[in-house]
Amino acid sequence: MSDNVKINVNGLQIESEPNKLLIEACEDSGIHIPRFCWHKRLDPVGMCRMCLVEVDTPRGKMLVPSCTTEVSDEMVVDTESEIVKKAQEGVLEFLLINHPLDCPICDKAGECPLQDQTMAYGPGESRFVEEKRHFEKPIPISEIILLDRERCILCARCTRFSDEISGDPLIEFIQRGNKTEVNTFPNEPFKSYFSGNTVQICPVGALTSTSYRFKARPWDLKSTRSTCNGCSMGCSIELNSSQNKMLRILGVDNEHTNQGWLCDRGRYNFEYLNSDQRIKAPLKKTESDREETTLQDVYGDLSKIIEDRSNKITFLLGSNLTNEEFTSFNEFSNQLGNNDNSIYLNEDLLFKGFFDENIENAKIEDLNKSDAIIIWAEDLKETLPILYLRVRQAVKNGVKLVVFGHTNSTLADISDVYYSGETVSNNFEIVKDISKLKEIKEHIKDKNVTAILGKASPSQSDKSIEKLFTYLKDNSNLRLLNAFNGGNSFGAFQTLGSVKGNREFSSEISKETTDLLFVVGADPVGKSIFSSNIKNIINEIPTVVALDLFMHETSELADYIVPTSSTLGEKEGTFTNIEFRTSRIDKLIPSPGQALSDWEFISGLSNFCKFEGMSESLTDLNNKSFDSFDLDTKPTFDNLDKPRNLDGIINTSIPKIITTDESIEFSDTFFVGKKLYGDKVTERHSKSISLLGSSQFIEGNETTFEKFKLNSGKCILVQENIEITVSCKINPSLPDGLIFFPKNRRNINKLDFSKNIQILPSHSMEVLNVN
Amino acid sequence: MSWDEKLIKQAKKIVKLYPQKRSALGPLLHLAQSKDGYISDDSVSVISELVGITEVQVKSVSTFYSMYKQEPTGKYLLSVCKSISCEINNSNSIIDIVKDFTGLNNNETDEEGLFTFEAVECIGACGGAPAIQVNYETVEGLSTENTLNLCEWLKNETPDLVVADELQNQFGGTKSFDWAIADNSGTTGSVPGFQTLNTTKDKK
Ligand code: SF4
Ligand code: SF4
Ligand code: FES
Ligand code: FES
Repeated sequence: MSDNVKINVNGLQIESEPNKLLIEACEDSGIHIPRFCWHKRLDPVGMCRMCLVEVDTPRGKMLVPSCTTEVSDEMVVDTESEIVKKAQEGVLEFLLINHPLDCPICDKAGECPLQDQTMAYGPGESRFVEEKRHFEKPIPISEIILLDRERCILCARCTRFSDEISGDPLIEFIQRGNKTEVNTFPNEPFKSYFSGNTVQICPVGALTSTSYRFKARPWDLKSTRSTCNGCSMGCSIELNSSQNKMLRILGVDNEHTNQGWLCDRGRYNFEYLNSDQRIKAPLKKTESDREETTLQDVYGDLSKIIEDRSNKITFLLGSNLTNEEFTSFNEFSNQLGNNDNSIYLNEDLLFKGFFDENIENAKIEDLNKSDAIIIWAEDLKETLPILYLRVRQAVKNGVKLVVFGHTNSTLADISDVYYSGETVSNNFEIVKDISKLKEIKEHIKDKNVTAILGKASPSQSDKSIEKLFTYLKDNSNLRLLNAFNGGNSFGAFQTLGSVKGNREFSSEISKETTDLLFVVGADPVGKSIFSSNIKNIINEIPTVVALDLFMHETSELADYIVPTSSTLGEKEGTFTNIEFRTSRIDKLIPSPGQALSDWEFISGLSNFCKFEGMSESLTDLNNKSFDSFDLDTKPTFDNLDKPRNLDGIINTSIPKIITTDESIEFSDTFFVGKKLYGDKVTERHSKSISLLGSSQFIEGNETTFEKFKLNSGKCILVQENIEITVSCKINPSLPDGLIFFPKNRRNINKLDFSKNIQILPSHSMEVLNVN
Repeated sequence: MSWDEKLIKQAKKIVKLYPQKRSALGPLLHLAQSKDGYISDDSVSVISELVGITEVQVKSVSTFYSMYKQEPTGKYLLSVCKSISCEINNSNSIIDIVKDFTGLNNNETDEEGLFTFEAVECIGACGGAPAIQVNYETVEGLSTENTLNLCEWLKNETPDLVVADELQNQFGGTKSFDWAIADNSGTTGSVPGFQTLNTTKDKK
């Protein structure tokens, strides 16, 4: 690194790294330069001219845009001179010429950079008397985003985001000059997994989300910082509520994880919190139906079962709980005299993972610093969307990308090597000798490699991925991210001591081994590959308790249903992400009815059972969760709340996952995976997400569809008494003869993939239902 | 795809000329325009696939340049220069005459599809200002009278081919200098022809 440069800004000496943009260097030293188009995470374009400053040049003082000018040694800059002020006034006057100034009905008002900067730097009075340009007031550019072209100041933040960052440029400037507008191609909506970010970075009220429109004024919002638990990325978020209703989620710029961005699931999957379908009181099954009961009654009934020490008790936990809650279940299970083997995590694709002292855990930012990235995992774009953005960013910075298998077909275009059909079989086994693959060797041999490894399909055994791992470890300087994507699954691995998954649950649990089952925040009957098995098991276990937010296919089977709080804004705790970064989960709104946190329930039940030695408060649980970690600064509430730790604290405690390596036999025509939006119960109750995640389809390449005679664009899937009409989407990156099924889409999740499924061409356009 | 095989083949040949596919965007838009007389959304989709960028990105480029027409033009595209040299040589009255004769405002096409009128920036004939282009064939040194004659002639004769030199002789005045390319062979529509793209129309 070369030395810092010294520059003089407004008479002050400041230091900056060389090649930094002037606007950024000033910002770092606390000198704010107004701007519209410049955004820290986007390439500069110098579109708006709001950031003009005066710089001394050999030809005298000159106005230059500070967002496209790099600092150089001994530069002399004035950001507040008369000329600069005049320029700022001029720029604002121009921007306001066509701006409708409908602030009273604009959602952005109150947090609007145009409003704020006009106040601070504007001319104060308008001289414009002509007619402003007019467009149809907001037009929908997708199901969830509206565009008001009159308000747009043409900063190109949204278009640059969709081009540079998310890689799906479906919005662009149309026309030129005075006629320029942002728009989509006719009938080609802005369907991006990351579209909500454009709303957040738009410096005016041109882009708005249907979910937040006209709901509140920024100055009425309560807010807190928290962590998204949608997947194991653990993006930093800001929760906004008004009148005890969650109204909006914003991305917070956490350098280590999301860098300000969120996927649309993380951003919009909160509307369920306000749903009137939430369970509000404990329920108990009766002969014919269910009736409301009290917590005390539930405690009473359960304690009777628990006190009989011969009864065996099992837990099936969803991965969306907080670390503290996992710890609480762990304590509880230990009190029962269970060894911790009685706890299962509601995950289908668990494998042992690559965790031990000799394996270096990668950090997300290592992606950018390595020579090559190797991916063998479920589709990152669908399961760890922001990690997908980080991979894209690394590739943009010149890191080589090697992708194995057809799951990550969206990365095919930007990868240097894409191993599909011939190297990785349709069943996700590696069919060639890895050491003989020339292409990968060139990129990894003795280089810094970051691998993202995870099980890509339930039909895959552990062997192939282990082979790849060994090869990488022997040949490169390897760091590794284990690609488990379920919410706080890394927190579960660490705080539960040891954990197993749905596969193990469905082969080990029966009424012989379990008398009482707790299913917590999990819907395996609705969602798991092992659904039918698990359903039978749950049906035969004498007593089943579901702790959940909603009634769904699993909680419906339970004898007791206890309403619980959501990890999103309704409880406090901590969350541990894919790089073992632990950050804060915070509470902003009250839970509906009698809903309580899972740990509160367990704590109440333990009190009822007169258990001794249980943690008594959330703080105790929090301390206990990280007790054994070998860290100077443990991720306790106290530490996490310190400003320097807001981005979270990394730990290296090694988790233990116990799995049986039995792959399920799938026909090698099928390949089953998740889509970002699907049919989870919370998604069904979030309007925005349910709009996005409702289409049913299968994917294949053209040859495959031809082979199955599926050229009409629609087909019918038939299995026993199930019949579903789905559309056929062409995905040229899939190998021949392989058909992709989105497992988390309605009705498709009813199919049993270990059995035969008939695919029939359809000419009718109507959608049939499951019988 | 709505382009026939021949056109696709021609397009693919153009794409091959460039190290990066998207560089072929400009020429392909010309090809699209020579097919329909304007850039149809259908063509945009075809081009987007050929060069591997999204449709809206293609649309963005095609709407940026005013010579890529977004709508079909009339048989004769009348582009009157409104830039400085022409303006000081009375282009305003030329514009008025064309407007009056055709009854059109800027960028409008008449119902019969005969004329499209546009007032454009400098067409590089400043020395012979004021100037007009008929389907991009330039006529210099116009007088108001000759402008009217030109319009009437086009309306009455409706020639399929217009050739700059002929128009100049018949309706033009002082020419800047004889700079025209040797192959001044005329156009049959409102689409500029390019020999390199093989989009020139019938030669005389
Ligand atoms: S819509 Fe917003 S972000 Fe996009 S160009 Fe207009 S002002 Fe900028
Ligand atoms: S990537 Fe994962 S953690 Fe980040 S916003 Fe999306 S769901 Fe939430
Ligand atoms: S912020 Fe520099 S030109 Fe817009
Ligand atoms: S100004 Fe009219 S041709 Fe140049």
